[in-house]
Amino acid sequence: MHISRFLPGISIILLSLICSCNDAENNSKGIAEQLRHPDDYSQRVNNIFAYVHKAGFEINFDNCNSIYILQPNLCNVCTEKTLKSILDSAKLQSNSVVFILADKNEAFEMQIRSSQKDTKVFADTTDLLEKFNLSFLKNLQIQTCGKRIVSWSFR
Amino acid sequence: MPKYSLIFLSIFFFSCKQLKRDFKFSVSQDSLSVEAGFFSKYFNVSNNADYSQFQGYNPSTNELLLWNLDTKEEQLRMKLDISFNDTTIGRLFQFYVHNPDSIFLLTENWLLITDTAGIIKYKRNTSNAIKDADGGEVYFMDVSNQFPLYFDVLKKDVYMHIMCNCGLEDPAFYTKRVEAKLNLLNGEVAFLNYHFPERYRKAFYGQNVFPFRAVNGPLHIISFENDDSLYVFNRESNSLKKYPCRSRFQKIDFIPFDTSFYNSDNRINRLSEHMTVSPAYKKILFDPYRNLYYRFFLREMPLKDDKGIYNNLSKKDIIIMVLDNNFNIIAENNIGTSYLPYYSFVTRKGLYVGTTPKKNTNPKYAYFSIFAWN
Repeated sequence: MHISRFLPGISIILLSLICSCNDAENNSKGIAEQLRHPDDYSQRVNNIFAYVHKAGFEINFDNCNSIYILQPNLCNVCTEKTLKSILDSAKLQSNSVVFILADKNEAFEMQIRSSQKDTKVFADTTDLLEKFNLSFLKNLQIQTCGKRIVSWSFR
Repeated sequence: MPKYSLIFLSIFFFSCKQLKRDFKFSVSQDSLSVEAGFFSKYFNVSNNADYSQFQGYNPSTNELLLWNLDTKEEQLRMKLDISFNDTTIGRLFQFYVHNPDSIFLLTENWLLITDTAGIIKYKRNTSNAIKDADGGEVYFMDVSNQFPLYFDVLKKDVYMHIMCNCGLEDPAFYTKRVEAKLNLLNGEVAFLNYHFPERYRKAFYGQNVFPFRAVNGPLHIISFENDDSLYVFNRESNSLKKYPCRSRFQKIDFIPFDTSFYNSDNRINRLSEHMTVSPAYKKILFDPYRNLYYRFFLREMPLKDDKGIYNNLSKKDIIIMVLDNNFNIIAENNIGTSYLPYYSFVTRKGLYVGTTPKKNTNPKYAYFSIFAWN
């Protein structure tokens, strides 16, 4: 028996296997590259101005603001303990404090209002946070002054 | 010449183990009036000869609930005498109700067996790590009932998931065995002779590292998140078999997690992006009524959509793979994105998969689609 007899058949099979393996590997590398994006999320955080405008929230960006975007319905992200720590730090802010809840949550809203009477609280009822790439798995604090982002951090 | 080519092509196609059968696939809807609190991470569905039983634990009320899924009737609701806030007991990892006299509770520090009267019938301290067969340290624990506790009533052996006394990012985690049995009569622990697949020792896969396990008679069927093969351990013959079980929807290989992000402030978001993008196999279930297995697969997806909006886990396509009792894939259905595969179980009617609640639905009910292949 000579192997050459089977060569055309084997070649086709091998070629199809090699091609399919290469595709999978290339696709894999391509998608893996997307995960190495250099963005440290600053570009996304910068969308806060466009988001607030689109959502129609009354926030005066001419002054300085501390904006907290909270995730009340994410497990272990916004527990009572973390909310308390955020409210404690918000009390120390000299800027106007604004809370944006990623989901409507009456208990959180009441807790925030009872802690700080003059604080503005909004809820993202139309899922715009996601559309403006401002939806994260952590709570976010953004400091703005004069329509610029001064600093931001995950809480 | 064409004859030989045909033989080779036939070998090639048969080796794929994708056997097509004339299965009738149907989908229907159902709702269960089980309070949402009982659909916590601890829930179980036990299929016995007569009926399917939902077993739920509500952490906020410390109650156990048993519910007959066939008749849709509550069977038992009991408040536990044990508090898992008590640090000497520790957090609840998982539970299983074998019968009203044998309620197994695995906590951070104890394996307890209690009954409906609250009498503790068995206790074993599990707070100290045990030496595994390879000399490392492991604990009995499970994250969210992905690996349900199994009780072999004849031999009085309890089979539980074991995890390394080390972090997920530690390569030693993946050198450990995955499951052990504890004999209730003599207290001996024996380790089942299987490990994490080889690939886990070569790269770190972030959060996609948890095994899922189903039991059918002596067979323990294990689905690893980042391995397309299924592993079947026969506890009677003490042997392990590997079955190819790659979804036809999987177009790319599993992506390792970039460990440079592991200690950054952005770690949680980076882990979430990795889970969004990389393909992953999830829960495996056995259907004793049809002698089939169901395996969930979450297909890979790009980091952003066409509009530049970041994708997330809830946008991943969910594929149900159906396997016969020889672990051949006999059907695969892409059911889309609006399901919660974690909330899945089998009853006589078929495979229940939780659906994301629609607006204006009664929040007191849990909603499901029932998938059936007959």
